[in-house]
Amino acid sequence: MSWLNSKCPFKLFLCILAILFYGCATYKPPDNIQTFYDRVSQKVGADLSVTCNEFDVQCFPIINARMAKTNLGIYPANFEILPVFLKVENKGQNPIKVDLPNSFITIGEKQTTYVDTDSVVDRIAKSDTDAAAIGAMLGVFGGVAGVVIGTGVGAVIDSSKVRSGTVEGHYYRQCFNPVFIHPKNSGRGVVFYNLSTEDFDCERLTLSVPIVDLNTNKISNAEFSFNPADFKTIQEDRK
Amino acid sequence: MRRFILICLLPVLILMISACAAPKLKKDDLLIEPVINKGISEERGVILYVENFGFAKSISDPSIVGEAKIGMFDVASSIRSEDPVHVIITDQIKKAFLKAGFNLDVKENAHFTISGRIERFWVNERIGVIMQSARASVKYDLIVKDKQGRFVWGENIVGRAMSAESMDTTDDDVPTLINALKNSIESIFANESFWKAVGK
Repeated sequence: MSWLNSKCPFKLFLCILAILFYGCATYKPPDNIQTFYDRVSQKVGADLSVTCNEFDVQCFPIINARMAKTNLGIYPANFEILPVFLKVENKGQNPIKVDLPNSFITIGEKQTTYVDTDSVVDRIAKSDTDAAAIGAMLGVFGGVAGVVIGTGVGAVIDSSKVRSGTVEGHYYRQCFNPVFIHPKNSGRGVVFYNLSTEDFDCERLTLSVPIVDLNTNKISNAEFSFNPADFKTIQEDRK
Repeated sequence: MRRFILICLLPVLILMISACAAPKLKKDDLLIEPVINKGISEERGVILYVENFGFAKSISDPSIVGEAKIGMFDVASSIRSEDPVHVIITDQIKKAFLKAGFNLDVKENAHFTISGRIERFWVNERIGVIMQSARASVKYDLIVKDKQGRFVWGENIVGRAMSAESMDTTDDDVPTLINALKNSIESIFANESFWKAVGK
């Protein structure tokens, strides 16, 4: 009966609005010919690299909100993760392994750990579920009570969803690979670390990535120290 | 008054009963037969020694293999396994190598030593407004070394699986995890570089 009264067109409008928001939230990875490495390395600018006889390691923290949204579909601070693009080149004679599960970030006395790609996707999906539940609840409340605000707020919360399904395949394709690197070969891709929202404002953090020589079992650490604030702006913004 | 207490207790009871129904990964669930199209002839007599797998520090409890959402209110409940994950994967890898035609023996007699470390062995449920699905992923390093301890082959093995969408996916959790494990094992034997390294 309520759908026949004068509020009906307005509710219909809100439904359309919700559908529009739903569409806006879907992430589409950039489809230009530039590789992820080209896009990130050209824009991050600051050079973080470790070179020794056996390997070269380059590190590009993805902290700038616009660059993260474009390349990963998320604002990393919202999910308390720090994405880092790594490129490791094996210049030695022996095969090496980039031991990502044992890599970590140190901030003062505190250590934060590596997060594997599947856990990152789970974290994004969990946030989607929460947004969907709140959106649906408020939408239902709006319908029952005849109060349009409920549906409107529901639609806005729904728009905060990332659509984990749209980032999932992209992340699996872009994650660091291969971790076993033969001589004269290289591995590259995105890795993630736990980083609380307040730690994004820390003055200095150190990323340590252990690299294992698979014949001698010797472990070398590639360490990068940087101030996250230095990566909040990208080269385009600096010009 | 008594009725009021009963009404208050009812949701708690429902939650308690539903939480008891978390699925469990049993030994019988692991009677899987991975499809291995390519094998090695047993007459070639390639002998392997499979070390017990370790697990990364991201696995805090090797007996917990996932999280189910139980009952009406989707209460999170741990999915436990009868055997810890490193025992499961070591056993399944041994069975798969035997099926592919390799022989297993002690380290002194083996041509190659297989070792590995598990990074993930996990299933959980993705919950939408109405529909749900189970997602599982299994990830581990597999390293092959020769008699002299030199690296021969290594790969970060990944197997993923997803159940069909349904109103309640909890019953699919364990089968989806088993599928992911099966996919991971099949990917080892489908890899040409593996056969180039050990099939000689």
